Amino acid sequence: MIKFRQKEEKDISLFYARKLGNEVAASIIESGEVANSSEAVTLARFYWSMVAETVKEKNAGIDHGFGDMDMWLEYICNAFFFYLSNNGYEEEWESQ
Amino acid sequence: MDQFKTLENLRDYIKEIKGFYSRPTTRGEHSTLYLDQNDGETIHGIRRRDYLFSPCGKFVLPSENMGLSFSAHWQHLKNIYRLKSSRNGGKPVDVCWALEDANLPQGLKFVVDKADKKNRHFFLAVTEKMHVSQLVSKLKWVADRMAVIKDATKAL
Repeated sequence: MIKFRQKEEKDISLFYARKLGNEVAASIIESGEVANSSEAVTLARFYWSMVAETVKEKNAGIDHGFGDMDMWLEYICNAFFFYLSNNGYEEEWESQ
Repeated sequence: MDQFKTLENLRDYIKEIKGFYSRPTTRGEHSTLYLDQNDGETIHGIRRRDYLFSPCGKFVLPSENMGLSFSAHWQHLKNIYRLKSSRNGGKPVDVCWALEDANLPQGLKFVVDKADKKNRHFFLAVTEKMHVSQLVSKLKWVADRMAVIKDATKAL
């Protein structure tokens, strides 16, 4: 299972998965599991696309009220990275 | 991506060092305190979510699963470095690091993040109840003794 240290990490990840139209990532985050290498790549790719999206929003002055996004993205990075790495998907993470 | 090519050189450098704790830090920012934030999420430069605070907010309580985040391996460092570089508007990112055997102030200890089975991430945890001002002083003490690799893209 993806271990989010704080509930907000899951909420924020889901928000951006849906905003970016990434239903596979949203499903992975909901279930807390990836089923295979392809889904692991999807989750890793989603993470960095979420980071890019937050940069765009920051530059545009868009604030969704989540608070310190640098902190949340750091926490989420750890949650995804440790989960994928602990379950044999380190290469998938590193490939993105 | 030039940054990451250079960071591969940094990896070669760092992997020669056994037992280190590092934090990518945007140039001009404090390496162990978040001093530029005024959004209610920090207390005297300490992120509320990083440590376990007493209900009154004046004390920090011991917790072996919370603390300031440190990378103890190249792979974790690279993630956070990339994240910081992506979000800071192109400012240079330095890598601040301390050796494992560095003396820490009483009440602070590096503890492994149990979420990572490969022990690449540590918390600088508190081991005894202390006033927030004491933790601030101790984190400044740690920062003052950390070595800095300035802007890895140019220095290496």
